[in-house]
Amino acid sequence: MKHNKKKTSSFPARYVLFILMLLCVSLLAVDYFKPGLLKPVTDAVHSVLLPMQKGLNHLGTGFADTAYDYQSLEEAREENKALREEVASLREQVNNYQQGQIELEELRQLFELSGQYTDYEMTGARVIQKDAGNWYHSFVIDKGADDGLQVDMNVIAGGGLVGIITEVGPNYARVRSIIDDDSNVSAMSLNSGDTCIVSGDLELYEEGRLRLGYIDKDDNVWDDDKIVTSNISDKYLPNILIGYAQDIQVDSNNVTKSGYLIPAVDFDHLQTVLVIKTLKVTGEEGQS
Amino acid sequence: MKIKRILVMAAVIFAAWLLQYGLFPLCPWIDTVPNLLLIVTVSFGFMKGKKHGMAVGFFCGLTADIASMGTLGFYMAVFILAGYLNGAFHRWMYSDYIVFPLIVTGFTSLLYGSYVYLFEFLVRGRLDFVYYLLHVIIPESLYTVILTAALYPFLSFINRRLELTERRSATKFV
Repeated sequence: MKHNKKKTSSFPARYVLFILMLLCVSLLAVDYFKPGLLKPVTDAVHSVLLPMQKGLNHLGTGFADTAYDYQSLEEAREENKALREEVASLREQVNNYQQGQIELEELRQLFELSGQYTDYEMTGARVIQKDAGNWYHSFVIDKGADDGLQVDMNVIAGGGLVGIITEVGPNYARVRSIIDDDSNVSAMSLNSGDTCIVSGDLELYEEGRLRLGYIDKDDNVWDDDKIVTSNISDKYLPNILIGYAQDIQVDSNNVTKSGYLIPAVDFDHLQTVLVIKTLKVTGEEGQS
Repeated sequence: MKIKRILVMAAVIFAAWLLQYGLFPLCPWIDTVPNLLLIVTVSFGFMKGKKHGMAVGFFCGLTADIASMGTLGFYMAVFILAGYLNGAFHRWMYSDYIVFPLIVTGFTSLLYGSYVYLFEFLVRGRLDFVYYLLHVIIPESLYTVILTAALYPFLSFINRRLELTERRSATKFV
């Protein structure tokens, strides 16, 4: 303690604080005015830290899987108990229904992935880091520039749009998901082709929804419509399923309609994703 | 020895970073991730004083900045500030009295949340502070405080062991 006190008296701590704050502000200023200047530094650090994180990720998913197994076992037990109390025929019906549901889900996914998007070259990637803060919904995948990924490539999973690549390093890429508070996707109704905007919202995501807005009052966008990426978006490829419209209502301005969107992808259990390696071509061709 | 403390601190920060950014977000039953790096910064600022707190905050902020891939300096600033502010409470430290560090951690975590809200959300016109307070800031602070209750004794133990060896080697050289 004595040792410590002598030291603190030599150079006041508030000056140190001031210098460090100045350093932070200048770092922020450098990044603001000359973006990309510090990228080599962060890239170098990442190439060192990422392998460690990958290892830990295996451990993490191991834990998660075991916990999930345990949880589903508990659930199955409870369900079993409840079902036992019911009539045998009803139990069979429920079982049949569940089996059919799973089958439907699998077939649907197969259809979405193989039928709808075969034109594009795709590559699978594993989610290795999710944002720890509770503010954002973006994540990092284990492929990067070395695997041919580029910024603005679209990312899908389970038959629906997940997000877009915002940053690429040599062996990683950062994906901003469509549920992020900062995300806006130009979309349209599959039935009518009328355009709208799907935007993420931290408040709404708790309810499992996104915001659907900027629809003309007279447009044919109704509840349960399939909402896909629009052909006029400059970053998203056309006709990728985003989700289903819900609660469409005319806004108070009596000019536009808005509502909510239930995403097609289960963002809570995202472990592998597909990156579409085709970039959207804008300009002349984009308008055709 | 100085070197020993530096090595141990590096290991502690590294472990906190790995847990917070690598393990916790992947666990499905953890909805709200407690801010481990903040716990380390606050605890050591509180136990060792302003300068030490700022040093720990500097490296915790650096790792947080790198992990979040945002602008370098954004988290650094708030972590350094947290280290400094909690270093100011150093004189009220009694080794085994845990209630005070818990209160301090809670307040720092609230400040931290407000800082993130202010510079990342308010500037984009998201005005509903109460919502963010209730759904992000307060849950995160609560988890952080609960985890502090578990971790502070451990960190305090590490600190005492380090001080013991430092004192021993100091007398040896004299």
